[in-house]
Amino acid sequence: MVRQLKVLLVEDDPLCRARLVLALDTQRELTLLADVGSVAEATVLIESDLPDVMVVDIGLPDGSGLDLIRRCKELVPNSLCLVNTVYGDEAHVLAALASGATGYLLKDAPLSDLGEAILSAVDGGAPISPSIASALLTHLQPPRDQTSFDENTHLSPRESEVLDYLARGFSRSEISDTLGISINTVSIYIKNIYRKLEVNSGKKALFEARRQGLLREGL
Amino acid sequence: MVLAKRWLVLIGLLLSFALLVVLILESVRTPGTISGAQRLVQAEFSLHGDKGSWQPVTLPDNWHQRLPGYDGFGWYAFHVLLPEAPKDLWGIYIPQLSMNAELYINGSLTSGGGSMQGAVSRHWNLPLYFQIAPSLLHAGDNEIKIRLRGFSDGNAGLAPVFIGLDKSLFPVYRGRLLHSHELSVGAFSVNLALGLILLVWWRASSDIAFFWFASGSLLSCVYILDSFWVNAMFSHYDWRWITHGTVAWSMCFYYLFMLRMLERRVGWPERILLIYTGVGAILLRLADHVQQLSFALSLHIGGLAMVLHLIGLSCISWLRDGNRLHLWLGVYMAFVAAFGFADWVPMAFHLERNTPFVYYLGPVAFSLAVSLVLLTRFLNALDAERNFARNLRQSLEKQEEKLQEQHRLIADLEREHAVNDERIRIVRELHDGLGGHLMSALSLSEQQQNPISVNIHNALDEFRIIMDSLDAGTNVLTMLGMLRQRIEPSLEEAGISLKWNVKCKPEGMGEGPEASLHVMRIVQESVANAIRHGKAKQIALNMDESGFVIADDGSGFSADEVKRGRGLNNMEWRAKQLGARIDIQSISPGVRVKVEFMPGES
Repeated sequence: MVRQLKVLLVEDDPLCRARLVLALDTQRELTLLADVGSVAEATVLIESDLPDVMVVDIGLPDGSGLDLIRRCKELVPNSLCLVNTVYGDEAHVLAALASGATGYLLKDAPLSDLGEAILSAVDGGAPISPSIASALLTHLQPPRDQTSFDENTHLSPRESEVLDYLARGFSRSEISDTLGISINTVSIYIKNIYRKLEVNSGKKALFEARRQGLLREGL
Repeated sequence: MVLAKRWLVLIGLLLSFALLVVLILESVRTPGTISGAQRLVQAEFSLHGDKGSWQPVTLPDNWHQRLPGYDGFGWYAFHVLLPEAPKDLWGIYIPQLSMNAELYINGSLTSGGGSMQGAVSRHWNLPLYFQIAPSLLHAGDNEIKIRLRGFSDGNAGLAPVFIGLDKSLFPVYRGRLLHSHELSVGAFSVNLALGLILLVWWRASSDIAFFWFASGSLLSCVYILDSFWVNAMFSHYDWRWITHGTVAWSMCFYYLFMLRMLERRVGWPERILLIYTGVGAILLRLADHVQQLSFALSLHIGGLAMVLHLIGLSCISWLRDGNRLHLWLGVYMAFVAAFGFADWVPMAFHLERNTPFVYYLGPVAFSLAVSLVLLTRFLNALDAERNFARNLRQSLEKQEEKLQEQHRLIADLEREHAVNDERIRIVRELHDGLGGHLMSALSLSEQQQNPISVNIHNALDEFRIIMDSLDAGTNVLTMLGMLRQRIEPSLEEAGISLKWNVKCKPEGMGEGPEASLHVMRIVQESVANAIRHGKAKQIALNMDESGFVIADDGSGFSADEVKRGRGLNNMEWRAKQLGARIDIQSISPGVRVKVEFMPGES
């Protein structure tokens, strides 16, 4: 039996929303739970329907998509949240990742790619851009002092290596060839790195500050 | 080998100094004959002059042997036969006597050396010279009488005297006086000055060693004073106690000083020495007049032993550690010992002596040596101080530079911060405004299946590249990575594969987003050319320390096209901005764009 994933779309621009709906249609495994344009509507849906996947725009008219991500992860820890962004830059995406998002989608990606991107994120292939990899390298850098190393928040040497390749624009398959590991292992590394970021963000005021500074005015 | 060399140096030095001492002593020796003068050796002696009985004596005459314990006057009578009455000035020269004398010629008192009673004038170390008017002498037998004041100290007596022409005798007397008087005064002044300076030095340095040295020097002034202070205000025995006491104490203080200079463990030898000197001084005070000098001379054996001990320690230190300072001090201590010994021996054994006393030269030589050492040390310290000050100043300047650098850095950071804030504002505006509109336009055009959607896609890609380049925190490698991510979907769509080999940032490439943007634009332009003009199927980017190369397998272009192409001109301009050399070659197959950085030229 083919698995069915309930997808909640949160996007205030009707045209973009329509585009996303079309993209979902390209994948049989993805079922549209609802497509809404505000935090209020989405919150109700999250609480009542517990979506498997949420694609969310950060800048919504009545609040921040980051709050939705946190709420969703809180209620459905196994759920998958993807940020829908025009730009996919480090500043926007890192805050979302820190809130518990698994990755991001570029709004203008071809329709078929959008659907595939959602599925590959579900299967562990969370997307990561070089600038985000570079930012993660900085933020999760292990301390010089070995005694205060925390494996839950700091990068292992291998993870640092993988991130370094990603930051230089290498693809997963190129990295797996170079390091002699499977693509799947690379994906696991990335997932672990995201998890560390989420744990780390609880400790650091950095992301909060970033959110307030960068993403105020409901971006 | 080293030890043998040190032994040689030591022996050589000691021999040289011994030779120097002998030469000095020889130079002050009283001559056996003086031309133009008679040396009177045979005399008659009477305790009470003409009232007593005259007995023949031979000079030098020492009362210790003939009149032990005698304290008072004694008369010497000489007979000088002259063929005719002299016309020129005559004189009588008494090189050595103790303690004072008066001259009588043919029965009348002619002249004298000062007080003969009470605090008797002290001529124990100074020669006497009396001029004789020609009228006092006559042809035939002339009676010369010398009344001597002596003390019961084993030293009283008279050495052979000279009588003759003044012009012959006076220069000899002057020479002797120079050694005995002027040199003594000089030695006294030098020692006093050094003692006072060292006392000040001690106050400044708080090093007790200098206090001992200053004390030794100042005390030695007292006994040097005795060698030329004729009319001392003290009685003979009191003054003798003072002078011999100070000899002992100054030796003692020199010893304490030297032990510290030699960095020797100080303890029991010092205590024994202090007790020895203290008890010795008290006993010297209590000793009776007859025995006082003998006792003092015995006390000085201890002093000599101390000095010899110091010389030994200095030599050992030199031989063992090669310490030149210690050798230097030891050799000068040997001066003290040699001169002291040269005076001590004839006095202790009542030997005939025809040299003046020289013991006072030792302390002066030693003081000068120590002062020289201290001066050298002082100059070295001054030098070190100056170096220290210079280093301090330099380090201060460095710190100031660092501080200014930090200020600059802070200013840069503030500026960067401001730029960053501005960037964030622009990014937000672009994202919300332009980005949103483009996105809506894309969605709409796709809905209507309008071919313009491709252009909107391209516009969005370009929009993102500009956004990437605005990120000051992104380095060139990441920026290239972002570029790859932006363009790869389009490349894949066109069936072009990308070989990515970005190792590291080229050495010599400048910092900042501007340089990164130039690199990115060159790469972008090369890729665009490969697709548009060359119809390439594969594009490779290699970047390492030296620079980067973009190569494709397309059809390339002719040299004319290279010149004409505006994109290529742009690439050349950008390479120039980067301070890099660009080489665009149409190879077969494809095009190779090579950008080389020359370290230090960016």
